[in-house]
Amino acid sequence: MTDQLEIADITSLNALAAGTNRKNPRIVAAGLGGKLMGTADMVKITAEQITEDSMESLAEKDAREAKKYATVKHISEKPWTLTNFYDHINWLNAVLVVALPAYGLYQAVKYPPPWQTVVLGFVLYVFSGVSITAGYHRLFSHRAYDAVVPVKIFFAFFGAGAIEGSIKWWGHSHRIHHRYTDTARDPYDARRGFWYSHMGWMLTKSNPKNRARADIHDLTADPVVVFQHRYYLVIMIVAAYVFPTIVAGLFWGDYWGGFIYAGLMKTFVIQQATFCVNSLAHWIGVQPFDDRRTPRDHVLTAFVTFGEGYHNFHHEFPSDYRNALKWYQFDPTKVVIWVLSKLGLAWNLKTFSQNAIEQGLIQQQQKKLNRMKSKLQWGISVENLPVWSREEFNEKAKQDGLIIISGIIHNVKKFIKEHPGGQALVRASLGKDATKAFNGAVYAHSNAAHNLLASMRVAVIRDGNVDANTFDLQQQFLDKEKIN
Amino acid sequence: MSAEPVSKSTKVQKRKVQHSPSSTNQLLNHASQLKNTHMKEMRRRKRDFLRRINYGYTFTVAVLPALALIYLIRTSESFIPEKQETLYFTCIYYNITMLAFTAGYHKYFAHNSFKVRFKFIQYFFAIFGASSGLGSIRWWASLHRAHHHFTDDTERDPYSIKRGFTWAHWGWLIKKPKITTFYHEFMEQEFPKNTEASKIINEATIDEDGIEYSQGDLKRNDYDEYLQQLLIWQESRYLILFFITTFLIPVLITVIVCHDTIAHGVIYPGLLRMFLCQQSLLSTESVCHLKSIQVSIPTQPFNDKNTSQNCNNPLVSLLTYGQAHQNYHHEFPHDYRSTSSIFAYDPTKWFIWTMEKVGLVEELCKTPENLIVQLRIQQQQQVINRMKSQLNWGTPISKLPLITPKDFKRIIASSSNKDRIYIVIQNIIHDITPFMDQHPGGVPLLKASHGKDATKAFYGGVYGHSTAAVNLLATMRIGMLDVGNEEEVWKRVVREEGDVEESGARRSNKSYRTAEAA
Repeated sequence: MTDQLEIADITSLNALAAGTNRKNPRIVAAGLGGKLMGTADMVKITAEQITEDSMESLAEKDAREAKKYATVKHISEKPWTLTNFYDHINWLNAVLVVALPAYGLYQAVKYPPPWQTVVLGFVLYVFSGVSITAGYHRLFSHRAYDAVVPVKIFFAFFGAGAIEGSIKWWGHSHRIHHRYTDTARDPYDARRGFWYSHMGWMLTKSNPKNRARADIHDLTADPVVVFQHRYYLVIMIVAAYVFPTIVAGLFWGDYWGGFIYAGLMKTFVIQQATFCVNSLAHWIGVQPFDDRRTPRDHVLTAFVTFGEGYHNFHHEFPSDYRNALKWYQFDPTKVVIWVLSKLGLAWNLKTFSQNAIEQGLIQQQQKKLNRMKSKLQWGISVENLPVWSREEFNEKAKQDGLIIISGIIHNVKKFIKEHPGGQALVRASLGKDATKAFNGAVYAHSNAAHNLLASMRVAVIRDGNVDANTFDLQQQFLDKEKIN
Repeated sequence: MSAEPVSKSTKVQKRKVQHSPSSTNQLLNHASQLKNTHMKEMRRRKRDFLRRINYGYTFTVAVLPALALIYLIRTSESFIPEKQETLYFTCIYYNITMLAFTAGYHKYFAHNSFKVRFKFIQYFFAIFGASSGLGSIRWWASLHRAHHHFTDDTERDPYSIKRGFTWAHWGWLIKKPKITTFYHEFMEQEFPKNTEASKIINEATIDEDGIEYSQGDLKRNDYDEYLQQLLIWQESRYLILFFITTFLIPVLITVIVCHDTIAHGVIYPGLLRMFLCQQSLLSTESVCHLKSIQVSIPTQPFNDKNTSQNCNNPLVSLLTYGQAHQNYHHEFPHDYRSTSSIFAYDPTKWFIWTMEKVGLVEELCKTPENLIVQLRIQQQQQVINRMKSQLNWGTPISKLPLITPKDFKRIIASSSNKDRIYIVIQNIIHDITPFMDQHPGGVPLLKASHGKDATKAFYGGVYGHSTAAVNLLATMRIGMLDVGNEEEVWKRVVREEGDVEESGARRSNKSYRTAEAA
């Protein structure tokens, strides 16, 4: 056919989805030569390559890497030994995520804080946590709603205080995670175990083969995001450590406590909570929407992560500003966004239709039900039964205790004793057609009775009694119709 | 069919002669006739209130407990016996009489859940069951069978919940049923008094010489002469038995063993215990059939076509002596358990099970687990189907307009559709415009596939979309691209719409039933 429809080009669409069609500066981890937080290997872009990154340069780089790793294996493909374990570890992240919090924990045990510091730590914890969930996650990564610039600045500042990387980097890897969930390209691949998806991905060097990209042109177009990314190191240190130290020091003279509790400890708790979304939410809970992938719903995860625990729903409907649907499910982030929208600070809150949500629920229930069904005995299906003649049936009927119901021969010998309506009734219809009696003339049997009957099928009777053979009856009826 | 078996079968069915199709109709006609005449009579003496009271039941379920309560209030004594021994005896006696009723009246006589090996067990049931004041075995068990047979039928169900909570609980006892004659005939059918039971049984044995059964099998749930005599004896001496078990035995034991007063013997183990028994038994038919009482957390996992509920509240279980799982019981009435769960509070089950282990009863009826799960699944399937039918699953393929590629290109090119996005997936045209902003992957991808076939990209080329996405896509269908492969289209129509209509293996399994109905 000449006017055949044009088929969408997968390559160009993929380039679009990866954002490689435009010449955006694509650094995804700012500061310290691109090693902060996300490993440089994972996105394979360093400070030198900030300026340009297009389809051509990527292809070139791929070729270069293929050549490079053709003979020498990448460190992540080598086994861990005593001689090379320090090569596996991303030491910068290890310091930020393990060493500093460990030191903070040690100090916190030694040093009892005044109550003001505890309150400050908690308030900053809430601020940073909400900035990560409502800001980094739902606003910037998923564009679930739009917000005014001051709110974005708030999220950018306190989000940086959680030491989880810049918005640009975070949003990028999060979009990759949603696009490639449960594949090798997923940066926090849950199939590789709880600890890998929790912290391991960050503490080890990742394989450049599994590199992936996502389109973040909307983030690079946002001045707040760009600014935060450019000065991330400074903003991070100020928001995470300097700000709480100064607040605690100036107001109640507790510089050291402010640093330990509102700085180190707060950061530690937030980091662990966020990591839990990648690990715990793929590990415990139920899957009411789709069980093909690992995300799960669990109230415990929700409590730990400011309401991000309904992860099965989130992966099914990512750009919904809610994570929990029911009023009793714990999702403070949803409430924060809703309040912001009522104050006029946020708008365009995206929700998926209730219809689509219920469809997902029902399909998953159906799937479970079908799985249970296939485990049960439902009796031999009519098509697979042998066909007996009337004589054959009469011969065996008395010895074997056979009854015809709806043109199917059933062996009821073992059941006679258990018949709730008494033996006499069954015995009276042995070797006969009991269709009418079974279907209501004597007693309209329940579904359970029909199921039980189906398990006793033996054969199909050839041209059974006219009363019983429904197909004959139908044919008669049709013939009559024809004549008329 | 030869003539011989026919004559035999008529002989066999002499016992339950009403069971043959024509005679059932006769019975029903007869019943409605009787009902009509009775209704006329009732209308005539509408104000004749006193005649409509069932004095026997009123005395046992209302007057006696009321008297006991008045006595306690007047003498300002506690509702719980103050003397320890009396308290213990009351509790033990409550359990004995309750078990005689639930295991005997209910499971043995009404539902034939098991077979008794020794006659004294039947006597135990008959004598101590009488102490609840709910009538003789013949009357209560046949009413209970009527309840199972005609559940929710306002006329024939003796304690239909459709007539209100009070009626199902107490009203049916205090007021005479309108169709008393029908119940008497039903009783005569279930537990015949006038027919000679032995004769029928013998005929049946002679008849079935072709199949080997032991003598024990025959007596299984058959109504033999001995049982008939027992029931008639119990019915005729019901008042004496009631007096003995409610007043004589408690008073004697209270006075002799517990060294308490006669009045306490009458009140605590006698009347208050009887009152508690009655409430336990009656609330199964009232509380466990009420959907509106949310405290009982009702569910209907097996069948939601009648009002019986599985009450998942342990307090209701305690109140009803473990019989709170009415939905299960109505689906599997002859099961000796009241629910399939091993851990459920069910003293009757424990009692019967122990009796079986000791060797007093045998052949307990137990529903196979497979059957229970089957029914549960069928019910869930029904609920799912009902929910499915309420949702929008998109325009079915067979109802989409056919659009040739040429026309489609013209539609895209027209200026009025400049801002819209049309994407073809699996030859179906989708109008994505309303969804554009919500697309998690962003608008540019959609714009790039505008007017193109994006089947591959949608199903994994760029992103393997979730089931939810496929559902959403279906709601945006606007047309079918006419590319000339009708066979393919037909296959998809059958797959999708056949699925919606049939939904699951159950319907295909039961297809012969729907054919039957037709």
